[in-house]
Amino acid sequence: MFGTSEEEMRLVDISILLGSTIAAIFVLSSTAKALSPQKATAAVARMPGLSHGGAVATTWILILLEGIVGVALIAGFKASFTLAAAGLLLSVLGVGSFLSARTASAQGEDCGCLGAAVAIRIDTPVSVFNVCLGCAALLGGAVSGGYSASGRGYWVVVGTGLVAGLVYWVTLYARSVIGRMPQLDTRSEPLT
Amino acid sequence: VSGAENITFAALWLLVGFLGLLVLVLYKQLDRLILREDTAGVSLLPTGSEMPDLQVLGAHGIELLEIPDHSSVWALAFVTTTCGACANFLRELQAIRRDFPTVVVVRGESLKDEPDDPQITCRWIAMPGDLPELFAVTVVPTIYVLKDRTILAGTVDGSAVGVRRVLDIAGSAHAAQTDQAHAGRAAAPNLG
Repeated sequence: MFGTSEEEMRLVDISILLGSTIAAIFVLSSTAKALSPQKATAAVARMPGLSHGGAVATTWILILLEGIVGVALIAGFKASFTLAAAGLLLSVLGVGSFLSARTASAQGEDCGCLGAAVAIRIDTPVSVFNVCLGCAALLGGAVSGGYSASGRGYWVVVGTGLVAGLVYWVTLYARSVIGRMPQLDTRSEPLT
Repeated sequence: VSGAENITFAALWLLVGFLGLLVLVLYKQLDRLILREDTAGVSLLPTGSEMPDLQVLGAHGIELLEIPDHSSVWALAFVTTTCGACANFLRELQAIRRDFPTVVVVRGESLKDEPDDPQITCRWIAMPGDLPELFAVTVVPTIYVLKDRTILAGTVDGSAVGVRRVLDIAGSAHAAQTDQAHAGRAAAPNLG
């Protein structure tokens, strides 16, 4: 299917870019959540049938998984396997946030994805995007055959992916804030 | 990739990263603006207190505000014609089903969208300067729920949630009143 070495190289580059984007998403999220896990725990606790203790444990498992997978992706450690694991994790989180968004109020609740740093509200389009990104990573892991951190220009592609990850969170935050703009119209005004 | 290219890429990422953080800070400020509560220091007339007389403009000049039904629960709202939150409040008020009358006391020239609801009466205030002193109105909209002249509840939250909350209080009081009336009628034959 991907006969020439040039095609294979292109696939590898795309996999590195995808992997490092997801890595940046995970590492930023994991670090922010580890610094202040309360909001993430509250978001996890909204899942039906989960006790407080279960929510705390699930949050820390997520923090660890995201951190480990993120660092492994950047380091290019067993890339094919790590990329598949990242895709699976992202898809599960996407489905989880979709289910959580359906039970939250109309304005949406903070998912605690970036801890107490900023409030991110994940709605259905973002959940669907996350699942798609996860599926792309799964596919990338399956077809690229993995990559290693020693390849030529590796850090160039990784750097671009890391910036893309930052842009992902900034965009999500911007969407969350813009979604709450109508609240400004309902604020009481001083009687002048 | 040459050394110069590596440096160029790194500089580019740093710039994009910096811009990303700048955008994040800007949205954070906007978020704070949305969440800022201007009504924290507002203290309304306490529950159980008596409503003072209010002068409004009538067909024959200045007159005292008439209470819609002395035995019933009613809502009294203060709005201005220039306040966006007031227009939003009036829209929310009309959208919610109510079993009791609402008197909207207006300050200003004319309302852009005067409520088209038989349960809502608009009256123009005669002495706007008296509002803070008589009714503790320092922000608009301010909404009170009363039974005859006794204040049952008050809010300065003109959002859909705030309107519903205060109208729920009024609805409960109205339902309790109706139940009492029924119980009184049912018990009446035994009194003789």
